[in-house]
Amino acid sequence: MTMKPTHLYVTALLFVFAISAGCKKEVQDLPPSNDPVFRVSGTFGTEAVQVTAGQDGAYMNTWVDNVKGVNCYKGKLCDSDFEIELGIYAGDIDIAGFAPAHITNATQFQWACLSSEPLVRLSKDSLTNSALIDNIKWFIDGVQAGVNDLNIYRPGKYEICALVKFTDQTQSNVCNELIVGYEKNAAFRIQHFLGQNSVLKSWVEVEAGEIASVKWISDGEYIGEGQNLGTILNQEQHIIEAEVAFTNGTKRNRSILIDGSLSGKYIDDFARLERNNIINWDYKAILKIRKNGVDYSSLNAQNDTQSITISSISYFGKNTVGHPVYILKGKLKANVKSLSNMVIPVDLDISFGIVVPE
Amino acid sequence: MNWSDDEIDKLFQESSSQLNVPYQESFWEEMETLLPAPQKSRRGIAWIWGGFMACILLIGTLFIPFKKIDTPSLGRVTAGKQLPGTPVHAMQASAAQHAVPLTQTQVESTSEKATVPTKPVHVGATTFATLQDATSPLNITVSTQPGQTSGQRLQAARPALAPNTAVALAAPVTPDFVAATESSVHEAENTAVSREPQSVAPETATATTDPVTDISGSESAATTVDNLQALPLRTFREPIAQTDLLPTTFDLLERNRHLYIQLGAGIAQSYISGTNHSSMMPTVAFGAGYLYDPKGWGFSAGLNFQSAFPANLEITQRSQIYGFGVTTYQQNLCYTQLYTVELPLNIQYRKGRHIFSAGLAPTFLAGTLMNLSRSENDEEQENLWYLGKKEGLKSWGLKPTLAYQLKVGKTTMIGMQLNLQTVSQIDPQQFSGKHTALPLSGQITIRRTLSK
Repeated sequence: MTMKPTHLYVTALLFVFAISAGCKKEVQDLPPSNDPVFRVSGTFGTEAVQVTAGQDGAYMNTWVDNVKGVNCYKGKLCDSDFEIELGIYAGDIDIAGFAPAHITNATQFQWACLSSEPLVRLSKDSLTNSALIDNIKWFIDGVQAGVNDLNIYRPGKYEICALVKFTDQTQSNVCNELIVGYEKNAAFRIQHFLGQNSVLKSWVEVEAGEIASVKWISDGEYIGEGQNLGTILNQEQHIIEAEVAFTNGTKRNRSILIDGSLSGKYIDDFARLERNNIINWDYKAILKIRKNGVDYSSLNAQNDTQSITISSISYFGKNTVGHPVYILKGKLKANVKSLSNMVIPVDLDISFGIVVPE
Repeated sequence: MNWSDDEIDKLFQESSSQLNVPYQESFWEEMETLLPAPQKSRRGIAWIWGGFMACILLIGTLFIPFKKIDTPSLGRVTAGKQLPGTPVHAMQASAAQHAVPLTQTQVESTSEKATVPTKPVHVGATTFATLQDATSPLNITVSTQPGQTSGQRLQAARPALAPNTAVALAAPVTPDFVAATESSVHEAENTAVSREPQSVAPETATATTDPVTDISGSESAATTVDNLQALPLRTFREPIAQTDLLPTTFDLLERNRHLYIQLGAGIAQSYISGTNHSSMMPTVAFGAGYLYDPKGWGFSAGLNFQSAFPANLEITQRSQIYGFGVTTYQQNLCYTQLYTVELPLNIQYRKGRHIFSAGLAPTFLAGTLMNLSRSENDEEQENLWYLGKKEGLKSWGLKPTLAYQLKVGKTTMIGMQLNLQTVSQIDPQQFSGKHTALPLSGQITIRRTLSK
């Protein structure tokens, strides 16, 4: 069959239209390349250091750590040779909720440091009825931490329980939350008086702040409200708990052990033994470095004059678990100390990521 | 039996004296069959090709002005034309095209009168008063065939008339060529048939002249020879000349102008050459055009569609997105086919069967077939095909060409051509590899003209 000119003409037209029109689907452009986001560069002692997330296998990890009951917002940038971890401790931990502005608006972060002296001393001898107490076993977060005396050096929020053995071999247990090494936005103690007719009078003695409300609980049951409590107890031992809320948002609980038999087997509010802070870790920074297998920490070193100077803090995105991550850019100067007491000065330009909760 | 012209003429005399052809409508039908069959109109094809090749034809008319041919030549329909000195007329289509009123006339015969409705018949420049005159064996010109003598031609024409002849003769006419003297023959030849409606005694003949077609220019009177009325016949002083009819093929174009279609295949230098791939790419093409192909100088203009198959025309795009780590995106655009439209304009010189041509061909990249593969951190995510993308490619080009063709048949030519792409077809910044600045290509072509 010969091809007629009509066929050739139509075929040619179809050919032209087909290849000229083409498929209307557009080729998606690649996302534009960007510069590395997280990196540190500077000196570690006398060695030059540069780690960039995305190069040479380096990766920026971010997470929220809980250190002694207090959140620490951390980031770690590491490659095969150098590892740097930077954390910012939370603050105002006695206030419910978190205000990210304390971090996102900061222009400087001081280094957290340890104290050579205990921040809190809990002792049997500090109790008024210590003569009737045979021994006290102190538990911190369920773990026995001492007998008769308990010293706490590290800041944190602790659940302290005292298992008291009286001289008549009876035992009682009372627990209280102690905030150590962090700002207390309110201060109070529970006082009580038990009369001969087993009438109990207890009250909240405010040392700082303004009370908003007080709830009284006896042996787990609600018994009343108000700054002052009056009730009648039987001859047994009772745990009296006060839930105190302050106008500045502070919320604390305090518990005491009361002996209804008036035999002197009671435990005062030992939370009052929270001392005024000699150190304060609210929104303080901590630096850890691992190089050549050796760990260094800023906690052990003298960093009174060192700090992190922030040039900008900006939101980056969310990490793999959905926590918002911010980029801290600035200059980091610190001393870090190894377990072998080797102190190394660190001077780094940082573009570092940490989690800052909403 | 070889007859002389005189004998044949005498035979005609006797035959015409006996001839009494009554008019019948079937005469026209039989005449129609003698006419050549009408050719199929090619106007439909002309309209189709006109739309497709309008621009090429326009260019052709700019270079080749139309020339009217005055003299009869092959390829034209020529109506029969009476030339001075030649009594023969061509009868083609003219008779049927002329509507004339019928007139009646009495045809003179030896024994009886016959009234035959006749009408004036125009044959070429000659007007015959009656059909009889027009269909007279003396006035009939039949289609010529090579090698026929005039007698054979006339003999061939006779059967058309003989069955319709309604002639009643009082006595059979026996031509007596021996008895007839030359003078009496001539006298009989000069006897004319009466054109006017009038009574004529059987023994008498009215000699009249044909006022229109007195070719011989001489008047003659009817005479009687052996009691036979001889009709005045025309004198053929000159041999009967036959003009060969020209082929009546109606061609759209004159002989040297053709439309053509062409196929080609070849190889071309790749725009990019690499170490791992061939530096050549195959090509195929098809097209059509207009060709003016006389002996000597001519030209052609066409429209070609070419498909090339590059092997190493690839764009690699990378993107790195830094965040907590880095995500590397890579996109490979690999062109597997290039579709080009070309407009070759060539000047040629033909010597015998050999045709040498040179010219220029603007090119336009109409589209491509491209494979797109996308990967993320070296893991392929998708693989797609796209039609029509031109990323990294240039659309326009210009190719000077040199070609040679050999005419292997009436309508077929095979040849080869060399092209050089003078305009870079790619953006070398986007392609990896060595860029070929002036890629050369060659093709073997087969061309076939569409007109005869």
